[in-house]
Amino acid sequence: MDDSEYTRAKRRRARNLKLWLAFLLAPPAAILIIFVFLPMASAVVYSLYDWNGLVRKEFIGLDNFADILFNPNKNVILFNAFGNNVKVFVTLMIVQNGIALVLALLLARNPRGFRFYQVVFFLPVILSTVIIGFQWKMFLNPIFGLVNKALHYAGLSEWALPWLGLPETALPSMLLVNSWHWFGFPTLVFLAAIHRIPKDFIEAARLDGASEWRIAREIIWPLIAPAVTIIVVLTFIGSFNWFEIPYIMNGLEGSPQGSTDMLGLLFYRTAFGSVSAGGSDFGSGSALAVLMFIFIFIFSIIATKYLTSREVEMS
Amino acid sequence: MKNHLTKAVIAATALSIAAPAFAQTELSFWSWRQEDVAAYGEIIAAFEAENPEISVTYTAHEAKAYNTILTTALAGGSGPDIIHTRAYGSLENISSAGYLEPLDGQVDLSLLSADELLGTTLRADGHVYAVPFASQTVVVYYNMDIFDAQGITAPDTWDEFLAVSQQLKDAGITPLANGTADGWTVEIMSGAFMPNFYGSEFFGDVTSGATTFEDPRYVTALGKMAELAPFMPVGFEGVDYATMKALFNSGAAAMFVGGSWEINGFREAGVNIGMMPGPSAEAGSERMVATWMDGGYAVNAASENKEAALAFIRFTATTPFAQMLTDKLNNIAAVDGAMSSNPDLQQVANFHSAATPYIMLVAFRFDKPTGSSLLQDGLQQLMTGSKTAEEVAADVTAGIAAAE
Repeated sequence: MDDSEYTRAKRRRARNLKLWLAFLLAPPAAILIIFVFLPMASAVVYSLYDWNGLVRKEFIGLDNFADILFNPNKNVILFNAFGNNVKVFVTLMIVQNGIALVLALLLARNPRGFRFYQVVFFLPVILSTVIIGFQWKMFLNPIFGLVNKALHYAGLSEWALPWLGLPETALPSMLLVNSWHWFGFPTLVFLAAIHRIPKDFIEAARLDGASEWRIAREIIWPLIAPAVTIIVVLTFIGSFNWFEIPYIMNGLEGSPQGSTDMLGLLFYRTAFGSVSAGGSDFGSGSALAVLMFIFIFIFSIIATKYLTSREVEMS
Repeated sequence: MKNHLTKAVIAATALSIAAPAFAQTELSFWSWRQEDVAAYGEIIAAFEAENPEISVTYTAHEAKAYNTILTTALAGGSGPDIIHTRAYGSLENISSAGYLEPLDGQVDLSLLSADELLGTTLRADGHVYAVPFASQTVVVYYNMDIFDAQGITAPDTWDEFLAVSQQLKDAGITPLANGTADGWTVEIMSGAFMPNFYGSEFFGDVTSGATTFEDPRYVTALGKMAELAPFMPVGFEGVDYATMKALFNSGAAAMFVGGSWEINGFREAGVNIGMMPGPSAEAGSERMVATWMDGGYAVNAASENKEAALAFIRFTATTPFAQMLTDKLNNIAAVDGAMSSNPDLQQVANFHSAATPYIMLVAFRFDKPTGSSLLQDGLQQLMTGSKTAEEVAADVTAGIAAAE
């Protein structure tokens, strides 16, 4: 076989491989287009029309957007929900991811029972959110709940509050539940990133007499930046799409008095209606969904760009 | 000969298979009442016995998701032939969109009162879009065993009610099982106590626009609600519907304010229940119960079997149907003429001699924010003491004025 024939055969094989790959990728792409991109596009279209309940009426351009953003009767509810989502993001960043980072640093030092802790920390992550929501709703029950029972036995009866029923404690309680559910995931991601740092970096620092705090701050923290980027962006997206825990624990209305209302709950109530909150309004609901998507999309890109720029290369 | 016989047998067999298929009209019937599947099966069998050319298939969807499933199907141009609808604002959502067949003129509605038909009439065109099926009533349930053990008789007036509650509390029994964690349950609670303070005229006055929720009658009634907070469970702010029922079923709480749909559940749990309307403001004044229509039966305007569906709807407007609804489902049927052999239902029906519409559901669930959302938030704040009756009344009034 001469050279040109060899090259041709190689090229043919490469072309076949590309066709084969395209063939394999087509079905998942089709599924994505049908079940993700088309509904997204139809939400954009819906948001540009006036709706009488379920019936599409005339084209009204951006009126639905103007209505939910600038109508003083509606935007207080929107801004309240948005503010709650911001609280969720900030709290989860500090509590859930902060705990995860500390645990990852401790686990990275290979303590006795490393495997045991790793499994225990990750266990809640694999449980279904629905189960976690119901279970903690029962734990936090003011009368039968484990939490208040424990407080009574510990002689702290005055601390036993109706956690999910007070506007001051309902959201913080849910955030603790969510942190409990998810902290194992960032722990594992941070731990994997720490394990990727070459051992000699840390050993060299230790030999030079650097304190553990200094090693964590000046060697580990900069070198796990890619993992931090991933966790921050995922937490951001999760916080602004937060729905399951508040829905399961306190219902669609963001009870009590809107203190646990989220953009996701507001979207559901607006688009599909609820027994107490009234009928469905696809137009405003779709507009809200589009706004949420644009906001999350843009901020995720900005955050990724910014966080990636501060990552350092290990060489 | 043998050949002919074979042909005849084949023809007869083919006919016997094909005949029902040709004659039968198949109707689909959707509902949210999963607990009623067996009873509807019997009711439908009675209808089919009289109308052999029609067969009806009852499908019950999950209650919370029903509105979404139904509205999505209707928007997509499909959906069942017969629709179990809710009433008032929820009905308006689908009737104003033109999905339902107007029934007046096609169905004899003479066994239904104007109040009952209000629940299934579209305000915009005055047409009736569903045959109302049953009413619900807010009552105060009490555990007769606890009352007997404490030597208590059912209170008549507000002052007696408070005295009884105090006596129960002193004996270490939670007087009221009700909490406020689920907003709708505290709205129900207001339906038992507030009407006797704001009176029978208030509903007409506030719906006609002659007054607002800042009317002194309503503010007084709200103030009375707040007096009940000390008699609710410890941590009532976090007590949800499931916990309320657990407290009452277990005998930890002596009274439960709820809808008439609770009767079966309490009986099955073995609670020796008594029922009473909310207490009167003072001795000799009126003792009303709040009532509303739970929903109705409607025909899909896009149905291909409209005539057969209307035949079924006509059947739902008759006394025999109402009697089956009463006997098999323990409902207070909307259609007149049914007699209940169940003493509980008989008692609730007797309360209807002094009834008033359950105000927010009946009249203020058409626009957003709904009167129900406003009142539920307001009552939660009132019961925890973070707002006064005047402030709650002002919030509700402002919210309703701004609703659109």
